[in-house]
Formats: sequence, structure tokens, C-alpha cells
Amino acid sequence: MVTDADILFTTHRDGVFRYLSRIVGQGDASELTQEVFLRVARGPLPPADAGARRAWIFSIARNLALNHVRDDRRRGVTVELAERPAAATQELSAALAEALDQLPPLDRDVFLMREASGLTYVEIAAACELSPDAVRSRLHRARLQLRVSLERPMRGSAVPTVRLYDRTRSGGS
Amino acid sequence: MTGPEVAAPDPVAEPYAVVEGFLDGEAVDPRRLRLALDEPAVRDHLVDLLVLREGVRAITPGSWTSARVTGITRLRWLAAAAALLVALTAGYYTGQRTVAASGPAGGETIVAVESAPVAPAPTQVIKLEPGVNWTDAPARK
Repeated sequence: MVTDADILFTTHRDGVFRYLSRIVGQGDASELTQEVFLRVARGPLPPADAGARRAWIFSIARNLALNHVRDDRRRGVTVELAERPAAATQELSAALAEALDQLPPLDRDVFLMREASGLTYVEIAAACELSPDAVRSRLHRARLQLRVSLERPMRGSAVPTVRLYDRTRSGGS
Repeated sequence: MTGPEVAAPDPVAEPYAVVEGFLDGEAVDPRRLRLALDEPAVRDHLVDLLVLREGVRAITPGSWTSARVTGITRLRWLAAAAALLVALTAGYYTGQRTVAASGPAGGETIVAVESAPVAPAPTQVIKLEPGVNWTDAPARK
């Protein structure tokens, strides 16, 4: 029998994974993603529309990520981003990991929910307990800071091709 | 994750707000978008953000087919194993207590049989003779 939790898992697992990967590293992100959806399956789902449920799932993911990073800091663990990006994005991806680490945590979360997972401003606002205008401002500030930090790799020869459509909205990876 | 928390930023400047809204799937006025894109700095901003987006989304998760199921199944197996262990332990201690309460091992009941029972005498004897009151039936296939 396919439950609501199963549908939510299928729909949002990749977005949650991408968001968590940029915060805790790809290895821990798999485990944390499962933990997010175990919590979703355990508790009663909030009676809300799809967007609000998505925001709710990401608020769970955000809390788990914050706890994970806090625990790692307590243990003195260095988180490595063990990813294998495509060759064209390798340099950019490595620089991106460092640049994201320099962002204020809330700006980074807003940026990643938008760019890595494709949440709307309203969904991010619900997940991070902000107003949509605050989301817009923080997103812009994060983007400006990342543009400055990543100017060299972004203007280098090995950059990925770009597209305008939003792949994450269709649940693809 | 090490960056300090800072105050909310200022509102986004008009051309950047239009371009970023467009990039993020918001509805924007095409005239305002055209005006924004007239500025080279804003065009650069748009292209850089597209490159940045590709970089952020470069991570692809592995197979998820049974990821969640595996987690739940593991929990179920653990719960089943724990229940079995509790049942075995409870059974063992219950058995221990029952044996202890039933007294020494020599207390079992012994039934002594003095003699074998005797069959009763026949009340009627039937005699069967072949051809008289006994006929062999032919074998059936």
C-alpha cells in the first residue's frame, strides 16, 4: 500500500538530499535524508497543501542538519564534502563548498533551499520562519557574496552549460 | 556552517529583484525585465546565477529505491528481535519459578500396577464353515 509518507519521500528525497549534502557532506546526507523521512512517516502529516508540506519537510531537514553540525562541532569532526561532480563543475563545486561555509547559516539555508532544492520563496519562508521578503533579501545577499567568492571559477573555462528551466520542480535530480 | 549570523539585509535593488524573480520562477513584468537586462551588470548577474545553480545541483544522489524501506525494515527486525528476546527471557524465568514452587524432584505421582486385567468369558460362540455359512467372494479389479 502506498502511503502519503511514501509519496512525500518519492517526491522530495532528491531535493532534501541535495540540500543536506551541501551542509553535512554527501555521506551523512544519505543517512540524514532517511532520518527526515522516517520522522515524516512516524508522525501525523500536517493537514496542509503540497507547498506547506514541502516546507514542513525542509524544516525537519534543517533542524536535523543543525543538530548534526552542532554535534560534529562538539566532537571536533571536520566535515568533508565527498562528492563526485561532473568534470565541468569540479573546480566550481569545490570552491562552492568553501564559499557556502563562509555564509551566515540562515542565508546559506535560504540559498540552498532555493538553488539546490527548488523551494519557492513562500516555502522557504515557512521552513525558515521568515517572511517572503526576508527570504528574497537573504537570497540576494547570499548570491552576491557567492558571486564575489566564486568569480574566478565561474568565469573560468571549465564551467557547466546552463539552462533556465527549474529541474527540481519536476522532482528530477 | 561557520559564518556568523547577521542582521537582515536591505531590500533588493529593482533590476536585480526583477532578474532574480524571473530566475526563481516568479511572475515578472516583461517591460521591467527588458529594462533590467539592458544593464550589462545585471546580465552578468543573471548568467553567473545560472552557472552557480548548475554548480549547486551537480550533486546527484544514488539509488533511493529501497533507502527508506531499508531503514524501516531494519527497525522492524530490531523490534522483532527485541520482542523475541523479551519473550525468551520471560519464559525462562517463569519456568524457573514454576519448578522452584513445585517442590523436590521426588514428588512425582507413581501408579503401581498389581496385576494384569482378566478378559471376561464369551457369551456366544459363532462357528463358520466354508460352503456352509462361509463363501469366498471373487476378487474385484
